Amino acid sequence: MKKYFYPKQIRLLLTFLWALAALLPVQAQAFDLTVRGKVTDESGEALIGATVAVKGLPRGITTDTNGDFSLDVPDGNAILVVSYTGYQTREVPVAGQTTLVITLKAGTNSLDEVVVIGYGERTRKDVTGSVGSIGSKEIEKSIAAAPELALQGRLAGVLVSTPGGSPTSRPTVRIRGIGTFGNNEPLYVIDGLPITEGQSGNEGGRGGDLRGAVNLLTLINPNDIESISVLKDASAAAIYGVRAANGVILINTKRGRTGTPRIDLNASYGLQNVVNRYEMLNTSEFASFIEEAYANNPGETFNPLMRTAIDALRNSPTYDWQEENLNKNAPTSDYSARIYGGSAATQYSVSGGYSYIESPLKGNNLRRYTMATNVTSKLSNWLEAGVNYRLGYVEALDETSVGGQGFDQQQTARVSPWQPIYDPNNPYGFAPTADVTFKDNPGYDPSKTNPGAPRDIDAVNLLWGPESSSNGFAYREATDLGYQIFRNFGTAYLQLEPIQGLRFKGSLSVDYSNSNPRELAYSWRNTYFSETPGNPFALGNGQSLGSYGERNVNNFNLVKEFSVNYRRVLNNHNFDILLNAMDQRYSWYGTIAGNEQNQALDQKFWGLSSIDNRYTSTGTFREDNALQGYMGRLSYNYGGKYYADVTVRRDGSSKFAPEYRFGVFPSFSLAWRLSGEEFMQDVRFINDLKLRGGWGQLGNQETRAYAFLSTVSNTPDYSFGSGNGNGIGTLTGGVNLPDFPTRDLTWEVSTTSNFGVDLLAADNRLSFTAEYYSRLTDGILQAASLPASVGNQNPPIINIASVRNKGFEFSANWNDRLGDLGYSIGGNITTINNKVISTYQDEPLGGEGGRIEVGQSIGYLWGYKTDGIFASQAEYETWKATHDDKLINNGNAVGAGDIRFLDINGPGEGSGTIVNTPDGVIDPNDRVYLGKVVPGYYYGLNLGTDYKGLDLSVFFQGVGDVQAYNYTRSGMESLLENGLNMTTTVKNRWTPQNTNTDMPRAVARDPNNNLRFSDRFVEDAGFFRLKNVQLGYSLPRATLNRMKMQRFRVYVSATNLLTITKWSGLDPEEINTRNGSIIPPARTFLLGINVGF
Amino acid sequence: MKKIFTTIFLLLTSAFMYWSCKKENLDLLPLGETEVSFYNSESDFNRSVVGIYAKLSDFYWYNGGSGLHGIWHLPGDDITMVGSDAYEIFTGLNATNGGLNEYYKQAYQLIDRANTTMQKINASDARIYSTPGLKTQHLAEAAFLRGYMHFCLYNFFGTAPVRTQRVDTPDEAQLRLSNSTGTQLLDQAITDFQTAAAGLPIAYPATQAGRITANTANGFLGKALVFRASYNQTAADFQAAITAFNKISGASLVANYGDNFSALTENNAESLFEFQATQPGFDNVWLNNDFESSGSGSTSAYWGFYENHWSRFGAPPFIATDKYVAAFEVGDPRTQFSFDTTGKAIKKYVLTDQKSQSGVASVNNPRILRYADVLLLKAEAILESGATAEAIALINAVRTRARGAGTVPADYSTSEADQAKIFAWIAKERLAELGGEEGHRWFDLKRWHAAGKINLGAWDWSSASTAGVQFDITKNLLYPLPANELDLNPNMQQNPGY
Repeated sequence: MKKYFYPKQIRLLLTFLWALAALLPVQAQAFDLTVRGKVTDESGEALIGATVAVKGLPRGITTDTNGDFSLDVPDGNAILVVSYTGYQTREVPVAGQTTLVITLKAGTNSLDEVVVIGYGERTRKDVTGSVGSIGSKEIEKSIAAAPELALQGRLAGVLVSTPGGSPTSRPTVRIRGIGTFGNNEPLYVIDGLPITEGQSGNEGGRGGDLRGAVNLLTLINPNDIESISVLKDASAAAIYGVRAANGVILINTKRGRTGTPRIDLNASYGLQNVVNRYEMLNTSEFASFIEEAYANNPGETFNPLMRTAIDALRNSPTYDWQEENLNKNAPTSDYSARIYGGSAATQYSVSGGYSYIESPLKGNNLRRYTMATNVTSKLSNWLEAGVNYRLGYVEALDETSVGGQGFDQQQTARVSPWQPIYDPNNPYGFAPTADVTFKDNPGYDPSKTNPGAPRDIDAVNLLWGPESSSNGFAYREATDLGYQIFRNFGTAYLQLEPIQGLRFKGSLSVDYSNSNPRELAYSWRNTYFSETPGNPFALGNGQSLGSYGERNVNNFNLVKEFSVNYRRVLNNHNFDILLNAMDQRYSWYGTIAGNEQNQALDQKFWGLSSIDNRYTSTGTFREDNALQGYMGRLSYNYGGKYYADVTVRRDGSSKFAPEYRFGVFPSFSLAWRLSGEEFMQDVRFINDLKLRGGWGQLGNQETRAYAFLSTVSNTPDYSFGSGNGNGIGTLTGGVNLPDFPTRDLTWEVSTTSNFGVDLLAADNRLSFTAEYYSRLTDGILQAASLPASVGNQNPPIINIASVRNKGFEFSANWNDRLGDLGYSIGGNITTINNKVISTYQDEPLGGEGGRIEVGQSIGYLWGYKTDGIFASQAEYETWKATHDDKLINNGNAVGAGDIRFLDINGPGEGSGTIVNTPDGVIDPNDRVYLGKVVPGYYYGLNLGTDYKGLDLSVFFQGVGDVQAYNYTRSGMESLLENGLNMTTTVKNRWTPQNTNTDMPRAVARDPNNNLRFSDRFVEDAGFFRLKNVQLGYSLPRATLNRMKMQRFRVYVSATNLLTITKWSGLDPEEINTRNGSIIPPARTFLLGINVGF
Repeated sequence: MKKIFTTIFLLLTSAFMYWSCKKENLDLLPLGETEVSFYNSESDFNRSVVGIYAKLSDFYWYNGGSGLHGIWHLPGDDITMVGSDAYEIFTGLNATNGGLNEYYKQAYQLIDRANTTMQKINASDARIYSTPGLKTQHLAEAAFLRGYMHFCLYNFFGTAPVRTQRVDTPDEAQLRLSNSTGTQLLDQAITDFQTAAAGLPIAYPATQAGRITANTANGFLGKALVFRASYNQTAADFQAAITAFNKISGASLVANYGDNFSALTENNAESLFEFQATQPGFDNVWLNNDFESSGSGSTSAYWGFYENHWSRFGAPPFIATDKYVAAFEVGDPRTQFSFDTTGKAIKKYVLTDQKSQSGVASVNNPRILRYADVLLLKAEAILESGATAEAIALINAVRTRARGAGTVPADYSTSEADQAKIFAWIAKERLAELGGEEGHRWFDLKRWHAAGKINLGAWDWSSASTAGVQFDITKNLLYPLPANELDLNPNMQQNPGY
């Protein structure tokens, strides 16, 4: 084992350093000259709260309510640095004067933009790592509830996928590709607090179920966000060590500032709609399609339920479930207010917000209330304290899946077209799915522990054929799937600055959220309106109207931090040293409870209390984690020309065995600002030019907790003791060991190199950044697939695989003004070359929909290649003479109209090897690369212009060089009789009369296995989208001054106006939605207003 | 003054740091018991054994509509269906078959649970087991269940690997076993059944009914020996089988043939091994047995393929073949418990059934080994030694019970000496008595073919499938090994023809 520093030694070292720092003589600084002045904007209006500092000294002051300041400077040669948010920072030489009027130009110079880099902030020109950031101006343009979506298309290297039109769902955020097989979620840090969420990265399965359907980040109101920074490379992200391998997203909220109180008000209201629909067969087309499918396979007996349905229903009307499920003109509204201000000593900000957003599909909405406050106060010139508190409350409804299955656009489209939705004669008003009759249960004995049901199902008649669908509308009527989520988030800190430049800061942060999903369901919905009718009498001794379930899911996160920061300027040497110790404990825990004996007619009175505890159930779950980190960062620059940053972080995680727990993550970066050199002074065209490069290592600890231990599962049960009239016996709890323990499990390490160039030219009008990155993730925690004959239940997790992502990022922006007309053009593009470097035993893993293989892009599509359609029986027979297709379902019924699959490979010499030589056999060896799911490039494009009070911005976003398997289409064009409806594209199917087609014939049970995973359903999933257009009008300053206002702007905005894509589904991003539910991104028209006093 | 503040602050913060960053903060308790802390009481080991039994449910449950039952019911000539199910018509059977992959996976997971239990018991502290005989019993139960799985793997896949050790380290040799050859799987089953037979009691208290007994083990030991004898044509195995069968004590044929398929008469005198179908708090037929202790999952058995339950969604039911119907003499009372002569719907298990709360699956136990099966196997073994009268007497015992108070089927004459004829009687009796149960017929056909007694190359499968059976004698005697196994294990060879 490697020898690392131990915490004890680090503690000693830190203590020593502080003591040393405390004893350092404060350099006697003589302040001989007092400069007074005023800071104004170009119109002469006073700027309140502008910062005035002496260059080279760490502290400054802010202007008062008249824009005035008074500052002591060392001598007449001092240079003042004057800055104000939204204005270009200026350096003003004092030049011996004692009174100055300083005018700041509106608009930020990108170099002076302050970038939050984690444990501090820096001006853009001093950044050495790869950090992208956006400010509140861009964030404002995003109309989504989720703050992540504000990043969409805005930053190079950051890909944010639209999670569909549901307001509750979570976008997928991927920074510079996909680096691991498991959790690829970046680390989110909100106001310095690394946040956690139980089951993060998990969308499906039990974990995803317990995590719930609502994005926890929606509890943060985007209106409260000042900026979002993304730390992309190791040298930037290394300060977050073991959690930073997937990148870090820093969300910084709005603060108070010196000056008279100000009020910002924002309101917007919009309407959302889904644009596209699946074109489905009508009832008569559907009926004849099925008959054709059976006629084409004489070996297949007509499904009797289907026969009956066709005979009875072939002349029925066509019912459009898809249309009925749309929530047309779904409203989205958002209102927020913020009051902020402060004196030179104390600044505050208080905000509140309310939004209500409906999904463009029925049964899904989100209502959010947020409150936030922060106060920072300088108690004396060496002591500062602050508190930041935030509270969010969400009420959400998510019935996009009912009765355990999705009820989205896809599901509704596929309902057999003859199945009606409503039935006025039904007591519940809906058309039932099944006719269910009951009989008495002779074995019913209420005196037994297991009394059985008083009545049993006698017969079930599915009314609309074998694929009678559950009536989701009736389900929604009889159920309530709601969430109440409460999030509490706070940090308090104390900072001492005993001598100038030396700061000690201690902070304590807590993030606690409680999610309380509930599910109420009347049992009749599960009997008459379900495609798998249950027995309502089996519930609660036959005395119950339905079931009630409740969960209480808690996320708790406690962070204690202590840091020492020392900044010093000695001549041209600028030092900034940071030492930090962090201790974090976070857990995810909760209870699940249910009661199946509810007798009140009104659901409001349902709950967990029941008269008989046999019918209540409870359970708990828990996951605890702890992290410790020690971090040191040394930043140095010489005269703003030569920069070096060195960071070392040592982290320990409770997820791993004690001897594999701690790791060290080093990084460094260097930068050279060429434009600071003498020889560049004559190059007028270039205003600023910086070269930078960095290297570093990061960790990813996101894997199953305690995977190094083999936990005992007490889930399997078995019953003994039945007989003599007792068919049930007594259930006995058993145990097993489902895991394959891996003691030496540790985190994944990603090693990143980054080279970049930043250029500002043409009178600051052109800014350009180019970067090259290469990230090798090593020791990926891979759930190694072992042969089934090993008998392990859960695959072992081993640090084994590696993946490399490399590529380029470019971003450029042109900003200019022609008189009253201002305009800007900006864009960014990112390329990704993703390649798996090694896997366990270098063996490929994963199936056809997501194959992981050395040398290929991660999760690529793997399957068979098609080679047209057999035009005639003779053509098939000829082919069959030389080919043996092992994947067919029924060799007797293959023929004309079926797909010919390509024979590409054959078996090699050794067992399990294949060679690229056809062997006349179509078998699993013939599966090949069909496409990749990691986009090769993605980009964003911004156009902006303003003229007098008008402003217009147009924003495009796109993804390219990416493929996806269209599972929805494969279902809707399956061409075998299964009772689910088909898209109208199948009308072009092969028939003896229609042979010039690529759509195979309709044939029951698919004898040729035309539906096997093949290139037939692999499509280009790239797109180019007109994401947002916004037109605004602001009142001129003179008018505002008259009205005593700071800001008045009205705007109209349109989102998702146009999408150019080859994707044949409803939307190229539909595949990103939760559990594969298809809720396409909505087209939104919005009207909004921003007012500031 | 400032210096004093500074010093105080430094002291305070040092204290804070020391307190906040204790390394022990990372030593959190795991979320439940771990392998290291468990296995230190008799009860722990009992639960471990129960965990092995529990795996049996994976073979019998509804499985959200993807039950495995067709694997053993359809390939033989006793049960059939219309339509083109791959197990019925053989064409289309390939290595990617989902059901076979599932069966194979679950079989080895059961074996792993047995191996783990044995590993833990063998390594346990001598002071843990204080109840006399309990340690031996637990080891024997684990051995039996492991042996049973090897027996099934032999009959379905033939060349699947023999797994007798838990794999808990990434040891390549253990991770990637080679195919078994010859009757290695059967050999392992026989060894395990012998261990089990020596370590098990004859019976348990009523509350423990359903546990494996010495009778179960001896029954399966004899059965596996008869199978090996059929495949290897070894007289010694037939002899050993007779010895094993003779060790069964207290078992008898129940008076009413129908009791063998009734939910009300489970674990009766005739029954040697059953899957103990039951219902948990709620029998959720869409979730398997491994559910949370307070949740729901399926512990039941599914019979909807016999009763043409709605949960088949119109898929054709499993029905009796003409051959199966013809195996009965007119008036044989077993007919009414076996099928409905007009529609050929199978009546076994569904005639006197008890559904779980799901309304889909049932708590009626599948009978895996019955004493009637043992008697007929014994008759076959004895016949090989030439003791024809003794063999015929055993067939007659089965027929006597079958006719009850009636006259059909009548006894065969014990003076018959034509061995081939007596064999044909046994074969016919096995079909009539055991048709539609546990894939007995498919297993029998395969071994009789191996023994040269019948020729499956030219067999009438009596199928109702209009798609037509395409049985290929060069490959279809064995199922294909799952593609997943072959993809990950280069030491494995696919069975011929696939």
